Amino acid sequence: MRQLMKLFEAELKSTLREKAVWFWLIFFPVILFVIFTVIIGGANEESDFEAKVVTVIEKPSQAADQLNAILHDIDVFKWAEDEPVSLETARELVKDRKVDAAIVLPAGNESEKVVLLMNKEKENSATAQALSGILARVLEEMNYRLANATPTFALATEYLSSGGNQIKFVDFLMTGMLALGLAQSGLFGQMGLVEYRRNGLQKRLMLTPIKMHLFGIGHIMVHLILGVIQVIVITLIGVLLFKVNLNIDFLAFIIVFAVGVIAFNAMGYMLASFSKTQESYSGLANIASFLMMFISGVFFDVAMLPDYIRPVSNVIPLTYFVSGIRDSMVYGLGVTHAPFWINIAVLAAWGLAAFIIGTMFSKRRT
Amino acid sequence: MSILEVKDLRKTFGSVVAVDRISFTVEEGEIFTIIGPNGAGKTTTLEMIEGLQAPDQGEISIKGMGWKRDGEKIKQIIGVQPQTSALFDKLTVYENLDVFSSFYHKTRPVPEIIELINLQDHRNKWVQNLSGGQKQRLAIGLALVNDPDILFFDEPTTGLDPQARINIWDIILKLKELGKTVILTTHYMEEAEKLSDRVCIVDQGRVVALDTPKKLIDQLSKEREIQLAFTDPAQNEAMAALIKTLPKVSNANVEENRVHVWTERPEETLYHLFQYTAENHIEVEQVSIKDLSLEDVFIALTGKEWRD
Repeated sequence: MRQLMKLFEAELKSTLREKAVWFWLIFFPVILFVIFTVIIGGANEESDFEAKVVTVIEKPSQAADQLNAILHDIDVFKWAEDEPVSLETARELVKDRKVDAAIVLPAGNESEKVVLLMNKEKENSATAQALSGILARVLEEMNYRLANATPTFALATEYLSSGGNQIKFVDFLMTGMLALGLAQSGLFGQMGLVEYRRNGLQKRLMLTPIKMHLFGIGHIMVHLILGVIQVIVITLIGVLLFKVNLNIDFLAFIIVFAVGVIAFNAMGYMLASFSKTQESYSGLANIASFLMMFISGVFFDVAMLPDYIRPVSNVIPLTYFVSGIRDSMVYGLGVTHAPFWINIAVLAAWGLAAFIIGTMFSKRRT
Repeated sequence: MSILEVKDLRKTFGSVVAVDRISFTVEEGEIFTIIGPNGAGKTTTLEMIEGLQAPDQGEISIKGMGWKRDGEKIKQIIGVQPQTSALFDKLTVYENLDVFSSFYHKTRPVPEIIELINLQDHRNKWVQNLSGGQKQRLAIGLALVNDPDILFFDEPTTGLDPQARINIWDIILKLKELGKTVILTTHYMEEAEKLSDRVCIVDQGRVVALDTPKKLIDQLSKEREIQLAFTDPAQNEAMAALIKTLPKVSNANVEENRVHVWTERPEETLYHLFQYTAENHIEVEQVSIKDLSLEDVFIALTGKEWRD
């Protein structure tokens, strides 16, 4: 035990005193996270979507009033004028871009259409699509209710605002980046092993009574510590800077974290056992990491991948790590959730296989 | 009983025979040096004794124990400084020694080791900031953490400047005073001569000679070389001719303003020479009797030129 603690201490000090470790294991994932969040996150931020609108009621009627009331309940609409305005005023407001759109409500005749007035420049914008989408849904609800004769407006409101409970893209992205960062530090973090083999420290340790597996355990412990630092830094940045909402199931998270970090360290160990030099090792780690990075649901959902890539995505470990981290951090899904155990099983299988192969190759080398 | 016995050790790498039936024994408290040119099989021999490589053939017995049965026990009582100094570069001198200490049952206090290897002023320096000689001293220090009975130093002074080399020699001699047995490899003849109780000369994987440095040198031809410089170099040729006639002298000639004389009995030759110079008022500026070295032994035994 004392040997293990001393080895752990030595490894930890060696690692933390290495500037490159701080850069690659902490700052690099953080920078990547910030950049990706700013670029992708900004464009996809649905909950920040707002449209300034006015309604136009030319001939007051019960239907028009009802519609008007429903529209006023929708969060994303910001009202330039609380009361309906005349068509003339609305046209001016749209032209001068004082509002994003004016919604012209029908006078009660069911066959009459609801007209969305927008500036020509916005014809193809996301705002136009979002507005017409929202409006179409409102009208659908309205038609449904009119046919039913007893409309319940409260229900319609709830349906429309349920979007607020969905996870935001930054939540999705942050957990993906966190899993990616942890995976990468496992894949790239075995540089020391290659170096120890090259400079003879491994040989030197073999001359002492120390068991080499203790050295391995010490090494894994150091990477768990580094992982915890990564989790804390990235989560803090996510929460403080990007207003990420977390719903953490701690037990599930800790298990996924530990199994994932150990599995990716084992994969790094396997790559290190293939490599004679640091250059070839970092090449292998780069290939492994790039192959996995874009098809594991880090930046977007795996469901968006083309069919022919899906089978690959379904076997690589990062997919399961990302999903495990995400489930336990933002969906609050615990150990009773069946996919949790699938994630754990796949990660453990990869880790074990990598460890066995790595050990075989290491033995052959010494 | 000998502290180390090596019998018929053999190791091949493919078709290359690195070590070819090497045998020797080392007594307790000895400094035993294995010397030979690069590729002679020194390191391979040492690594087999240290348990890093398994011999194809032969037996190794350390204090009566063998690697197969008592590997763990042997590791507790030996200390090794491998050829390439391998250390935790980002740890300090003290931290390196401290980690290695934790591996052993019996240990020598770290501050004591730091004093022994003379790194008191650098104990809190990172290894990567040490000089080559300091690193090598630390590597020796790491071999001492378990206060071992037998020490193996593989080319401890290779690549070091003369001062750093002398520092290492001092440490090795101090260890001998402490009663340690030291097995050392080197390809510096001078080092072997200065430090060793016994020298084992290996070439192409075989032992070509094994004895004390003095006995090895004494085995060589009995002729010694004397060099003389006279105050007036014009006299050189005449003096050389005269010296040739003195007792026991086999030859004398002039080279680079010096008279070189080969004789079986240097003291007798010089006695007669100085009698003559005193009577004839000839001034002798310099006299030297050239030492025979292990280098000459190596050349005589292998017929090869010695290259450092």
